[in-house]
Parts: sequence; C-alpha cells; structure tokens
Amino acid sequence: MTNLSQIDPFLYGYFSDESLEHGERVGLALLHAAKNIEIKFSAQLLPATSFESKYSTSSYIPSEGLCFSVENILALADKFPEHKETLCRYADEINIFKDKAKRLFSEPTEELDRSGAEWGGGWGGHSNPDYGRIINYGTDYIRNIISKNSSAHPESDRFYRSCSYALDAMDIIGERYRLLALENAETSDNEDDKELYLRMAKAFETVPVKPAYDFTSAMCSFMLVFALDGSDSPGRFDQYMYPAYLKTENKEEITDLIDRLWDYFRDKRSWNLCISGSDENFNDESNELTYLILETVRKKGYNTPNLTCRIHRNTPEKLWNEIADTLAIGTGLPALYNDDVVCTALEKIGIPPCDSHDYCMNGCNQIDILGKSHMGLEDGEVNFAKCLEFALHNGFDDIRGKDVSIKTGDPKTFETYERFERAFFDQLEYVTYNACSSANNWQHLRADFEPHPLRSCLIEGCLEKGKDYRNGGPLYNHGQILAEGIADTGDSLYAIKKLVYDEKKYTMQQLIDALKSDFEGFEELYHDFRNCEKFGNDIEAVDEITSRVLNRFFVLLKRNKTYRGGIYTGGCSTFSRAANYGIRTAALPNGKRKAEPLFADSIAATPGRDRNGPTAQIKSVLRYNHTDACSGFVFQNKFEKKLFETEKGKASFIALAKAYFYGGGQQYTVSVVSPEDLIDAKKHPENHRNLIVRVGGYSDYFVNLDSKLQDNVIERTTVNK
Amino acid sequence: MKTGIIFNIQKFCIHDGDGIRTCVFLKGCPLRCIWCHNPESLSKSPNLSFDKSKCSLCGRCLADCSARKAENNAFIINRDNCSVCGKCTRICLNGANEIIGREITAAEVIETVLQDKMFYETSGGGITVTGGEPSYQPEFTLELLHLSSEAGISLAIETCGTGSREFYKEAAKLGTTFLFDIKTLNPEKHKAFTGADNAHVLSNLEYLMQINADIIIRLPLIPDCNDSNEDIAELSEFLNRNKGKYRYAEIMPYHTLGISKAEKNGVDSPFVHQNATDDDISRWCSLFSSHSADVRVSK
Repeated sequence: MTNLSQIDPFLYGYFSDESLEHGERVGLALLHAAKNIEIKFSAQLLPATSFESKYSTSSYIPSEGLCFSVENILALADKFPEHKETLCRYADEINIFKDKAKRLFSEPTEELDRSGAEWGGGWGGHSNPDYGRIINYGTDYIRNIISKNSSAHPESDRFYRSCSYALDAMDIIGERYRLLALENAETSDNEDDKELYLRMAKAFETVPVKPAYDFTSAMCSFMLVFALDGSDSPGRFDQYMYPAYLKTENKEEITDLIDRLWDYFRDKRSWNLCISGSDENFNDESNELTYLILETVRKKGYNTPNLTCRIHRNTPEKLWNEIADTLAIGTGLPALYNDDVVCTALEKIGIPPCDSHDYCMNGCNQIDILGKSHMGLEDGEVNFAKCLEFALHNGFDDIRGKDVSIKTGDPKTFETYERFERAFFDQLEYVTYNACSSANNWQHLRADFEPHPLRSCLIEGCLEKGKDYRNGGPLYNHGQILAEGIADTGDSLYAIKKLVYDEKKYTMQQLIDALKSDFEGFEELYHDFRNCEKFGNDIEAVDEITSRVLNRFFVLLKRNKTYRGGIYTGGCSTFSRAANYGIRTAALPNGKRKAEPLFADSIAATPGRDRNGPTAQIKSVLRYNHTDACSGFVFQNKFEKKLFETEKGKASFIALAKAYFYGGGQQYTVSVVSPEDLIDAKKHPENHRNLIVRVGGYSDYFVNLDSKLQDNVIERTTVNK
Repeated sequence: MKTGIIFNIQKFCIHDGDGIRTCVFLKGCPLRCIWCHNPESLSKSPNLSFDKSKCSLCGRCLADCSARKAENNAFIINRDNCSVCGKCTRICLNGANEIIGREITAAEVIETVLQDKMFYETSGGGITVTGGEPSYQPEFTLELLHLSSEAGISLAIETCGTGSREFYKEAAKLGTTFLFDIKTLNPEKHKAFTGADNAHVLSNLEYLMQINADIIIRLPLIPDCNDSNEDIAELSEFLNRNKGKYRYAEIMPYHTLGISKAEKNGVDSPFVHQNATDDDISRWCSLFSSHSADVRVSK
C-alpha cells in the first residue's frame, strides 16, 4: 500500500494539521513535498525540480502559489481505492475553500468585462524574486532576518513559521540533490558528466544554506530557486551571478554551464531575463556575463528566455553593436529599455534611485524592481475605444446591442467638441475605476487565499514587516493597468473635432447613423473619416489629442490605490490581443468597421494609418509622456535582415534607436525578418505591420506599399535563391 | 524667396549618403536614361499620375475634365489636353489620381526636412537633394543647401553631372557631399542610353576631384547595357587612376521599380528588363576585382 505522503506530499502536508491557518498549511505542504517529491537532474544535468506532484494534483506556481486540481484528485481517488475516502474528503474541503473565496469576492463589473471594455485582476502575474539573496547570502542569512524581525511582529508568527518551512524545504531538496549527484557520479560512464556531478555534489555541501563560492555552486543555488519558485523570470542574471563569476578561475566551466542553462530554458520555457543597466549615477553595469549571454543567445537562436537589455546614456558602443548583431539573427531579442526614462518614471511614483536602478522586467515586458516589489504584472486593461463607443452611444454597447455603461449624455445635444470629449473622459473614468476596483477585489482574494511563503522569503519587505508577498509585504506594491486602442481613439476624437465641430462638414446625427449602420450608405462620410489625419504621421494636432487621452488615463489610475498597498500606474502592450479588441469594438470615427479585427498594436499607429515612414511614427510616439508609464510601454518595429548585414545598415539602426531613446522613448522591440517572411507579409499584412523594408532609394513600411512595389521588393530580396 | 518644383520629400533614407537622411526630389532632368526608375521626375512641370489598378470606373472624374475619356471599359487620358488642374485628385474616392510636382518655397521644404533633426543628430545625417536632377533647378537647390547648412545638418546631392560649373562650385563651397553618377565612360553609349554626351559630365567630376570635394561615385549597372567586360574595364581604370580623390564607389544594381511608374505618368518606357540578379552582381564584382578596383554594392 502506497503512502499518501508519496502519492501527493503536498496534499498530505496541507492536511497534516487541519487546525492551522491556511498560510501555515501551505508552508507545511512545501515541507512535506520537499521530503517526498521525485527529484531529478534535467537533460542538461542541471538540478531542476519544480514543486509539482507526480499525478498533477498539486503544484506551486508563481501566479497563484499552491494550487490543487480537484479533478485530478478525484481521478487519484479511483487510482488508489485504499485512499479513496480521504482523497474525496480532501477534494470536498478544497472545493469549499474555493467556493468561499469566490463568494466573498464576486466581481462588480462583469458586464464591462463581457463587453471587452476592461478586465481587472484575473491574472496572478509574474515576478522577479531576489535570486541573489539565496545565491550570494544563503538560506541561513534569511533565517537571521526572520529571527531579527519576528519578535517585532508577534501577530505574524504563523507567517514566519510558514516561511521557515519554505526555507527548510529548499535546504532539504538541496541535500537530496547532493546525494543524488554523488549517486549519479558513481553510475555515470561519461568522464565529463562524472566531473560535473562531483562538482555539484560538493556545491550542495554549501548551498543553498551558505553563500555560493564559485559559478557552479551559484548555478546550483540559482536552479533551486528558479525551479521551486515556478520557473518564472530570471531577472538581472548578469548582475547577481557576477560575484560568482569573478570567484571562478576556470572560465570554461562558466561557458559550459551557461550553455546548459540556455538549453534548459529552451526546454522549460522561461520568461524575462534582463541584462546590463546602470547604477544611480548612470555608471554602466554591463560586465563579462552580459556579453557572454549575448553571445550565447546569438549562438543558440532560441526565443526563450525572453531577453531584455537595459540601455542608457552611457551604454558602451561595443554593447550597442552586439545588441544589433544579436537582433540580426531574427528572434526579436533583446527588447530594449531605457534607464533614463524608466528610472524617472519609477522615481515619480516614489521609488528612490537606489531601487529604481534595480529594475528589470518579467513575463513579456512588465517592469518590476528585482527582489523588492510586487508590481510587475498586468493587473488589468482598459479598452479606450470601447469607452469612446459608449460615449458615442450614451452607454450603449453597439456590438452586444444593450446598455452596458453609464449614461454620459446624448452626443447630438453636445454643442462643442470639449463637451463631447468630457463625455468620453467620463466613460474612461468609469471604466478605469471599475478595472481598478475589480483588480483590488482579486488582490484581496489573493492576499487571504493565495499566500506565497517561498516568494515572501525572496522579496525585501515581507520578512521585515511580517506580511506575505501578496498581502502588502514587499517594499513596493504598485499596480499596472494597460491601455488598449490609444491611437484608434485619438484618431477618432480628432476626426470628430475636425469634421463635426470645426469644419461642420457632418452633423453628429449623421456620424452616429453612419456608425450604427457600419457606414453602409455613407460612402463619402466613410471616405472623409477614414482619410482624416491620423496618429503616427508626425502631425502635431492629432498627436496632441491622442497624448491628452493617454495622460488623462495615467492621472485616473494614480487616483486609485491598490489593495496590496501602492497606486495604479499605466502601460501598453497589445501584441496579438489587438485583433481581439478590434472584434469586440463597434464602428469608429477613425474608419474602423464594426467588429473589424483592427486595432493599434501597443503605442504605435493603427495598422496602415502611418503613411510617413518610421521617423514620423517615432516623432508621434514621442509626444506621449513615457515617464508616466511605469509598466512596459511597447513600441515595435520590424526590419529586413539585410539592414544588419552591413556596417552602414547597423549604424543606421543604432542611430534610429538612439534618437528614439534620447528623445524620451521607453521601450523598443525590434524584429528582423528574412526574405521568406516578406512573402508571408504580403499574404498576411496584419502579422507584419511594423516591417520596414528598403524600397529602391528609401525605406518604408512594407504593408503600406502598393502591391506592385511589394512584389518588386520581394523579388529583389529572394532573387535566384 | 526661392521657389522650386519638387515631387516628394522622403524621410528615413539610409542609402543616400551618411546616416539617416531626408531626400528632397526635384522635378525635371535634362537626361532621358532608358532605365530611369523615377520617370515621374523627368518633366520639369507638374503632371498627372493615374493608377488604373485603383480605379473603380465610377466616372466621377469625367464630369469636369477635358483630358479623360471613357473608352472600351477603361479611362484614357490625352496628356496634351491635361491642364493639371487637380480636380480629379480631389473627387476620386479611391485615390487613383495624383498630381506629381508642386511649387514650394525653399523655406517650406527645410521646415519639413528639419522635422527629423533628432535623427540627423544621432547618425550624422541631413538633407539629400535629388530628383530628377538637382542642378536643373540650380538656384533652388543652392538655397536648400544653404538653409540646411545654417540649420547645422549635413548636405548631400545626387547628380548625373550635367549641371553648370558654377553650380558645383557653389555647392562644394557649402561642404556638400556629391553622390555622382557615372552612367558610362563611353561617349557613344552615353549618348545612346541617356540622350546626351558625357564630356561635360566628366569634366565636372574632374573639377570636383580637383577641389577636393567629398565625392561618392555611383555606378548604376544595367545588365546588357553598360555592364560589358569592356565597360567594367574602363570604369576600373578610371577608379584606379583617381583613387584617393573620391571616398568610395558603389554599384547600384538595376531594379524595375520605374516601369509601373512610367505607365502611371504617361511616359513611354520601351526599356524592359528584369531586376539585376545575384549572378549579375557577382559577375560585376569579380570583374572589378580582376582589375584591382575597389567597389561596394548598394543593397
């Protein structure tokens, strides 16, 4: 008869003392799991075991902490009939727990969510734990922090116990790896493998309890934290691994381990790894590891981890060149972030320079402070264009055919553009506040029901305050709500101002009738609105309105506090979600048709509306205030590979990127395409809207060229292949 | 106040001189190169461009027009009768009509050019006056260069070399970089392919080299026209003889972008060829190399 503690040690540990509170039980679950889960070395011989049970009944993941699958637990009941009664009872208890959580925190804004106007809180998010804390200090150091602070917070004794269990769990797994490494060294017939196993066995005599003494022990420590925490975002790897780099004489060992790690990342899929950066005085922080990582990325060509690179006013030319070379291989890595803008943005919300310069990214592009914050996740999104739709139709959702939002007045009665804009801002405020409120509900739920004892040991503030990672423990607890459809909204407002109010070419009645009928029977009106000036063409008047809309959003956010103890800030990163927002939004005065899957991709222009080339688009985009965006503020460009194949081409790219950043740009995602992609770009322009190509004597967006010109470009780049 | 006729201001040009540049395209050229890829630039005055692929045959443009007629399910334009009034450009809902060429002051042009100043600053870029042929509107071009120089951005012109000595002298004084075309060194071929002989062109080039102007030599190579073994041998000899007097020479492989534009602009274009292939380019490079001449290829 198999012991329940071996079938699912999490369940066993969680239910081992049902008189305890949830948080402490989670800690016990981790402790029992550490003793009983299967541990193994990965294919690359790295110690990589995550907190997952054998039958997928329990796991510990970054966005939620300890998770149980009731469905799989019940399946287990069938598989192990001797434990059926117990397992079924456990499943019931877990359901009761989940139900309680749900009942306590029902969402106030389901209708707005269903309309695609906003969402808030449904995602627990990514983060950047302080790997360096374990790697360079050890679990005993953290135990010291606990003992130093626990007497000051007697009410948090259960929290501290839970954290101690998590630390013990890590040590137990470390010790088990030491033994497994010795075993594998014994049975291995490959000399190199043997040597590595013995090196790791020795490492585990020290780590994770004590600080790493070289790169191998640092890597062992890193793998423990990374895998157990849930394989999220490695963060500033080149910074916290650097002390170990310096202590290691045999640099080949380092290159070998990095190689293995990258293969592991490719298998496991990991998130954001951020290199380089600057200190408070903007001294450059790139080091040998920075360059080693870039070299590895070029060599391997994987699209994971999601590599980001911090640049600033003192970034060495050598790094710029290597960035260009790395981008040239075509995986779109690294994405670039500008310290001058990001640090200013973070300081504006009260984060001091010593901490703002410790920023990195997690997930796709969210900004976070390494090891000090719970703020790098999307708490929600607001669809600006849907708010505009509500304003045009007085709270009515023209796609779903029902009243969904508040009434802000019948636009036909508005005598000035300013009056109309105010109605739009009223809608924006209502929807934004609802997104924040929804997110706060979820945060409250997570604070009470999703404790994260392992994370809490790895984020500064939690142990010092005696509060869990999700309960306001971290130093910084701000939130991030993303804007969608900025350009679409700005273009629409500008067209309304110009054609309805300034030139009075059309009445509001005509416009609304046209929108409701999806422009059928209104060809001339459609033509005028569609061809009215658009954002992304370096036209001040349009850019100014668009920028004003975004600024209002940022202000509205800051008026809302997050449940976990910060304020809301904004950003924008649509990527593939753009089409979906387009489908859920009705016809708009920028010429978008009802349910057309057409929406601005992140902070750029609506596809096809930027007709004056990449420099004009950059100038428009720089009219936003990037230092008000504390979340990723994504700007995407795609280039032909051949641009990077000559020194002149590379230099042009670097000059363009520098102009963008020095002009106030926050973020730059650059993709590079091959000749084959051009053919695909012609067939599926919606997937390649940011692609810039050489057209005879100049360079412009491929999808804006007429068909013959596109054929010409394709022919010239694919000829004779 | 100097005015001129331009037909385009194109930003983000990275193959027309140093860094990121804005190209100003002047209307009018004294040559008639059979391979021209900007046929809309040839005549000095504005002309109509009609893209029949965008035409829905709705007929709104016919009402007030003395040049356009419907014939056999298509619209035919008699260019001699076209007064370039522009009415059809405003009335068409499909954007099929465009007037190529407009009169503009130098100051207005520079205002647009300076919109991209931040990009010139990080890249060493600036203005490139091209066309058409800049030296065909010499006062206007010199004014553009002069105003650009005052604004602190770098100057370049693309020229076929047919302008007056005075013009090149003044442009060089301002520190202009000359992207100077050598269509062919052979006088008969030059006459046959461009409509003019090349003595004047070469003498201007010699002059610029003599006064140490900044020169980048452009070699448009068109398969089966000016790329024979003899042609390339001749060019190599010229390049080697004058080594050090120009910055570098670059091959401009022929491309077919001009052909569809010719039709839209009512320009006869009997010359039909395919894009230069990778094989063509390899052949040219090995030939130059065999004569020890250094050339780059503009991709």
